Amino acid sequence: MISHVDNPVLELHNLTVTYENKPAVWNVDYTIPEGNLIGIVGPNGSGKTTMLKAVMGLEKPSSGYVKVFGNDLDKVRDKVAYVPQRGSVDWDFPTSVYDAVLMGRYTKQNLFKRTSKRDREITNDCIKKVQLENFSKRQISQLSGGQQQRVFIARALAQEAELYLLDEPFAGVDAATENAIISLLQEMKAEGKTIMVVHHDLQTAPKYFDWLVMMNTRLIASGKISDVFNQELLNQTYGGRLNILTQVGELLKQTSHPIREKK
Amino acid sequence: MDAFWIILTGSLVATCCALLGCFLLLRKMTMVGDAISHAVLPGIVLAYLVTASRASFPMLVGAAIFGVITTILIELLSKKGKLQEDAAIGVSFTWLFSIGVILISVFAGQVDLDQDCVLYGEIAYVPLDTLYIGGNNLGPEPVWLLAINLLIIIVFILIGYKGLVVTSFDPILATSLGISTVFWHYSLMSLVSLTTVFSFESVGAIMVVAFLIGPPAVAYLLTEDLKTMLFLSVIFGIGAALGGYFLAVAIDASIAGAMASVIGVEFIFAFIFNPRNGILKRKKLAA
Amino acid sequence: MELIIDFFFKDPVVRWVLMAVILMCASAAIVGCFTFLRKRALVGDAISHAILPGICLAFIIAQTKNPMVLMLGAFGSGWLGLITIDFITNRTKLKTDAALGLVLSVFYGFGILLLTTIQNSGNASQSGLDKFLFGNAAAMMQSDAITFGLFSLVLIILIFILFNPLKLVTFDRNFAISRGIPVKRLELLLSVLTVFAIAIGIQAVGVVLMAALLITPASAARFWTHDLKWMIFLAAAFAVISGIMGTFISYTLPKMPTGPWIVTILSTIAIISIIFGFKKGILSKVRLRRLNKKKILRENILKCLYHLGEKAGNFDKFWSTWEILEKREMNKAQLKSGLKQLESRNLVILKGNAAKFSELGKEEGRRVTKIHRLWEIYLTKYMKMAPDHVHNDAEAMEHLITPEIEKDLEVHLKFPLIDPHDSPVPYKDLK
Ligand SMILES: Nc1ncnc2c1ncn2[C@@H]1O[C@H](COP(=O)(O)OP(=O)(O)OP(=O)(O)O)[C@@H](O)[C@H]1O
Ligand SMILES: [Mg+2]
Repeated sequence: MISHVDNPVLELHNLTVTYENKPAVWNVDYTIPEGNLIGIVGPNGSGKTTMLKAVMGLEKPSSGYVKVFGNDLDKVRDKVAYVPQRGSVDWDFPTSVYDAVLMGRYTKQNLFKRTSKRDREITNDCIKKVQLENFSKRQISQLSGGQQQRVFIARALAQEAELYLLDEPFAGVDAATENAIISLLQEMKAEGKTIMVVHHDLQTAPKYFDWLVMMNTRLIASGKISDVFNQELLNQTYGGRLNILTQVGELLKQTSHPIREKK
Repeated sequence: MDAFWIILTGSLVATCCALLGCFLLLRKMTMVGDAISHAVLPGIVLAYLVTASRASFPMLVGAAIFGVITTILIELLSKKGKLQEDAAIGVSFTWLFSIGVILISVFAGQVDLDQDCVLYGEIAYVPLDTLYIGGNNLGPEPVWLLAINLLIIIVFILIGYKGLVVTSFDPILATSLGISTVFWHYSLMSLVSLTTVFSFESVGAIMVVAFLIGPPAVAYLLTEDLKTMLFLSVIFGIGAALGGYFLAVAIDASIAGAMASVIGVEFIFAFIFNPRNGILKRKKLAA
Repeated sequence: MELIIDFFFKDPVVRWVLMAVILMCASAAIVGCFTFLRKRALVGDAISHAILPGICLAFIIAQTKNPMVLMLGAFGSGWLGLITIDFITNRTKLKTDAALGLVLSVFYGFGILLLTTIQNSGNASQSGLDKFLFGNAAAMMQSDAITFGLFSLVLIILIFILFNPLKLVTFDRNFAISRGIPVKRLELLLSVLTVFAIAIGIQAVGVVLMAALLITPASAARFWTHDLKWMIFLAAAFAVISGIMGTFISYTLPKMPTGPWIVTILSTIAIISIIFGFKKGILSKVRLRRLNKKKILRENILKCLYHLGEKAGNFDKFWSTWEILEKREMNKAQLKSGLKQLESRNLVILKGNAAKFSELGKEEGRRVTKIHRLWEIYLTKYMKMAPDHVHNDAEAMEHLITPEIEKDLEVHLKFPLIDPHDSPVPYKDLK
């Protein structure tokens, strides 16, 4: 069950990403409609993070391509914001919440300029939106795990993007914070933004999302939540790793065989 | 007057190293800094060899290229050669450094360098190395070189502050914003190489590391604000230069060695008094 | 030549020195293998710098250059350096790299401070302490050589006795714990041995380059083997060769420092290993890629011949290169070379500019075609790809899939007959 849409915000075309020649994302091909809250589900190690990294140009695809708003990422970078999975930075870094969020305002163009008044206002606004205004002077290691997560969300908000990619924003977050974040995301959706969220809790998935991408190295389904959130597809997503695919993946790694024939 | 020039030289080395060292520390690349400081040696020897005695500014810049080559070599060995990174660092700098020492031995007569200079510099001779332009005595040449180097570093940090910080703190964010991490990495490494080369005469190839790592580490323990950290590291660097000079004069020992020892003492103090989990804090909590 | 004979056989002192250097280099390289595999390569660097103040202090206190005394001092301050590194990483927010750099440079600086005070105090017996900086094995005294040689020998023997538990601790710490092996104590022992090996090794190469004697042989050996025993053997061999050559050079040219020469030779061996070593080496990957490429070319030609035969309903017909090229785009020279390879493998029969299947070749062509079509079915059915997207993928996989996976695919897909483009799947028995 893979539904395609016209004028997608994001299009993955036959995307394959490998580590040491072993595919972590294999031939994934889908399109994402604008102005939706989209869930990405799949078991651990199923390539969700890898796929988002490939979208952000942080991993090079070995074949296929990604189009964002119909363009190459480089042309529309300022329209995409990415919140990586937790623990990807050094929390002891001498920076305050405010400074960390302000980094969301950096672009290639203003990198050598002074911070504008508008940047500062937006930064403060975003800190307020995630309810961290009382912590804005704090060094980031002196925050709780949930608060640290919100710093990163605030930073993505400060980017004022159109498409947001959030990798497990609810991991290690209490119910109250999760609710606060999800209503924030829903507000953003109401403003026409598209938000993709990697999510592990299948209980809440149908409540939160309009659209669901299900994957396990390969794509299992992508479509309206009412169309794809059913037992059969869930079984396919979570029901063990596909034997043949795993075997072929291992073989690729051992033999360094090209995954695509070079002309 | 000599004391003034020596302390000034030491302070300039300390300031240059402290500013760059803060970023090395935050990028967890201090050992790459260590590697660079060793690996520029063959470059320095060649520079001295080509210009017969005193190497000129352009030659020394050329020597600094060896530092950048080292970073490339480390990356090549670890990425392409699949050698683990710490081993790649160890293999590449010991290799280049030993070639440097051999070159010194081979051209012992032709180069105005010896092994002592490599090991702990000859800051005491800095005042003898006077620069004359049009017959005017302008003070020691190394002071001028270091001053120019410091100026470059300050301008680089002022202009590139945002880029340096964002690529140090979160390279993933930087990349996704379209900011080149490679550019900032190599810019920083080039300046580290340059600083190592210019500091070489005063403190030797190995002791530069003490200045690159020590004062930033002390400052890092004492503050949680990057700008304060940069400021404090410069203060502690200059403090070590001053303290080291007087210590060395008092006990008649290597000035560079004394400066490094003072840095060690500074670190012990910072460890005891640091606000987060220093011993004082623990006592207070217990009380 | 005469020089070499002199070096090895004439001077009895040199024989002892050489013996000692061999044992020192070997012991450092053997211990270094464990340091390397435990990813603590730079710790070795820090410790070797940290040893300098210990040597100087021992001298100041005891006023003697007796190697046993100096070794004691060296061991003490090396150990203190090791503890300090752990202490800093555990008790402050500084990361390992900074802790290493700090210990390395401050200890070394303090050592230089002490060394220069000793030198400037005009103590006559001090001359030679600075040989610890770059090492000067060639100038070792006979008694010292015997002492260090013996120490190294003890070290090597200890490692051989404890080889199995040490190996387990290095590769599978958790398993070792579960087996009730005293992991903590073994790790402590390994640290002691490392500091010990460094304290001995600096006699040969000096504190500044000691890291190389530990890490470089192991790094080089890693590229030739995955087996720990062989790795240790090779590392020791590389170190010993370099040790002998370095000592020889500084014996014949006394101005030359021993340490840097040993290290330069070692590094050269390492670089050569990285380039030529198999299994992990760069070249081996290039070779593998070339072999893959050749195989792909051959199989593509076979498949093309099979398609031609399928279309004509005749697999025993000769096809001209021209006809093959029309069916499948490729470089003419490549096709020629591919056909040659196939002929030498008895897969095709060549006649002038034309080629036809041998029996064996026909079977191969069928197999490749079958895998291609099976994979296309697999992609459309289980990877949900559109039929017009699957061809390129199958082009690559047809060369990779083994008979076992082929069988799995058949069963998994329930022996399909038609691929997504309506071509038949050529089974063997259906022919
Ligand atoms: N840098 C890497 N090098 C090698 N393999 C990697 C790397 N990163 C990920 N992998 C492998 O790729 C596969 C997919 O990983 P990925 O992180 O994308 O999974 P995920 O779906 O995000 O899992 P999780 O739910 O645990 O976050 C895993 O098998 C993982 O082991
Ligand atoms: Mg993930």
